[in-house]
Amino acid sequence: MAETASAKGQATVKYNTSLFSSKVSAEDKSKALLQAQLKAVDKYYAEAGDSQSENLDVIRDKIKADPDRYLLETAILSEEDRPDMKQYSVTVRVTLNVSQLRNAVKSKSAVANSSSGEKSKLTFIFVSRQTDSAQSFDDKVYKGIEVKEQSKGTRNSGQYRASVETGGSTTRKATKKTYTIFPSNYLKSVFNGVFASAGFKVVDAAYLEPYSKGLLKIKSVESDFNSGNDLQPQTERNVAMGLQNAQVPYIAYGTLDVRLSDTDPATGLFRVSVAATGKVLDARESIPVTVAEVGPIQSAGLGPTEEEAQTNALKNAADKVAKELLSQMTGAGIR
Amino acid sequence: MSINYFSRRFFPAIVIGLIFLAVLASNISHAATVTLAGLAYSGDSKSIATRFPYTKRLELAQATGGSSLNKQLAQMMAKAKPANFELQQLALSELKGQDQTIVLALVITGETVSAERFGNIAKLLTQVRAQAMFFDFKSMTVLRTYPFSFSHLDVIDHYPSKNEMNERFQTVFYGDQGKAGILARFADAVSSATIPTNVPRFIQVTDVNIGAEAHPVLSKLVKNANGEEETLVADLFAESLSSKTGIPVLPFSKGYAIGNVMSMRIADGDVYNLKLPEPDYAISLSVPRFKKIKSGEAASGASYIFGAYSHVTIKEPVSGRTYMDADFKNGEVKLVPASQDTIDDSPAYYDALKGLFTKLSGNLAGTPSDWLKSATAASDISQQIKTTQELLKSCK
Repeated sequence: MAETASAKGQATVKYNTSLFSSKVSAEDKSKALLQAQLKAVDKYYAEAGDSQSENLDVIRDKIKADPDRYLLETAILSEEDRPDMKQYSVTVRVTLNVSQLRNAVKSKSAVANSSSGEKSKLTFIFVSRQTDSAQSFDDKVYKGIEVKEQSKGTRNSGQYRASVETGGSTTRKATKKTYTIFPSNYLKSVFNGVFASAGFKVVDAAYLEPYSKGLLKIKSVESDFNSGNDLQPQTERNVAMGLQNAQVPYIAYGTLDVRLSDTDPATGLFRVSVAATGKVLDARESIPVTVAEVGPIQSAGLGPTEEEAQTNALKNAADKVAKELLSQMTGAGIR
Repeated sequence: MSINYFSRRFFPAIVIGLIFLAVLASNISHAATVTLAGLAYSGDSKSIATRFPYTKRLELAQATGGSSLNKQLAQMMAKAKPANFELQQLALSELKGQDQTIVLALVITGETVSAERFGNIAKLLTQVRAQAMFFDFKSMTVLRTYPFSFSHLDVIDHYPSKNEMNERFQTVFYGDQGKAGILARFADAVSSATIPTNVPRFIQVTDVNIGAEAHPVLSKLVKNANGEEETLVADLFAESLSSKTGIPVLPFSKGYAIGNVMSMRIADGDVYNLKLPEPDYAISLSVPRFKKIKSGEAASGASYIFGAYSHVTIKEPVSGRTYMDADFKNGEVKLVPASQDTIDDSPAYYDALKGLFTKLSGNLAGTPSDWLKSATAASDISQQIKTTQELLKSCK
């Protein structure tokens, strides 16, 4: 079933009257309708974020040329003809064929327009984790008292003055978190699906390890994400060099942080939320460059059991991160 | 008479007849099929027992007696002949993978049972609010809802026992003194309901504002004050508009949906989360106050006019085009016998507000009444009614 979405748009056109008619012509009405439909598509992409809007620029002409292909339904919500101002306005709600729009973006992307030999290899490592322990530190407080004495005579004389200044500082230390990393192999199909369908040659990181001459290690990446939100510089350097050894230019990596479950107020089902981040590195040069970065993206999943809710949340988050990364890569013309 | 002559003479008639039969056959074969899901409850599934205690008790009592409410509903609907679609009864699990996936449910959205003592009398209010809801099983999206309700107010000489409350609640479902109950009202709504053939337009009560003076009156009519008054007013308007004009009205989102997702549980146990479409046309209601004026007095008692006031706005939010924007008022006369030493005004105010919405909806349905002229000061009300009528037609 095609993925669809609804959006509304409005357009107003000025028209010229003729000797025979002072009303808006069918041609002007069609022009206004098309403008309103395109405004609705604009609105949909604007609400989806900046990288998606860039994608719209790529396919706008395609939509204009064949709106019926991308717009499944159009409902006219209101139309108003103002002959006194020679102005016609129309408001529409359109049902967008999101799958078809996505295909159009893909077909216009650099990677899709490359021959098989030119298409880049890409691998990915995404780590699903949950806070295992959070060590918070008490504030360290330093207090000082300084007594200043000023006197021309003795302590007992009338010329003596003493003042006391108190002060100090408080040092706060960030909470130290460690995470439990759990296997989420089923997410591979999500990332694989998004990147492969866009035209990249997706390589499983596990198969890549031996070709990286021992530098790209999934365990090292997981170990870094076990206690932090980014890779250690050494790990990142090793990953980049490992990719160069294996002749794979791009790697997508990131974390999916699973929060504790609660009860969904609307359904009474278990609800788990996930905060996801992701990054794509271009490792072709000796100094790797970040070409796409997203997050944190919040996503939630519902289910009759906690495990099911967690799986749904992770899948939703993985899908969102992969699509947003891909969208930025398409915008950057990566093939 | 030769066969050739016969053919020539009657050929055009035969062709027309065949075309007519073909069109008829194609209409029959293309009539939408709707699957009855049965009885359902709206909202958080875990709190159903606390939100619908009387309906659940009735459901249990009927099931123990051998015929569950769901079974009774199925039996009743098996005899129903909806005018605009075929109704089938299948387990929803059988719909997976099928093309035809419109599902119909009787969704209970609210129940109120309250007893209140007034001097030496007691007032017993029983009310159930419900919807005939059509949704697409594939996309889990609400297609249309026809709201309806049943209210019963008894004034009795003693405080009602639990048994009396349960018995009175039964009549809400099965009807009383010739007045159709919830089950029959559901069948009635379904009989004339339509399935969208073109792109549907959605209308919804989106905002309800209750003034400080009106608040105490309405809070007496609902069990808890947690936003229920707004839902009561929204439902009252939606029900009047839907029943008079025949258009579906999306459920009031603040009452039934969180984040435009409406949850419901079918009586048999499955929970569904249905997406509510964004409304194309928004109805805003405000009820600033109620008013009571003594209109006459005699030895036998006094008569009062109970007045309800409301401002109704209907607009298309994107263009900002306004179809209706006017103040309305409605008065209902009630006689209070001299022997009655205590008066509870809230049911009379409720009738006045319901009357206001019903009479306005009647005008919107194309039945002009003299009431309209006295109910509003808006000079262009005829034009407002006309443009709103056109709008409502597009929502059918």
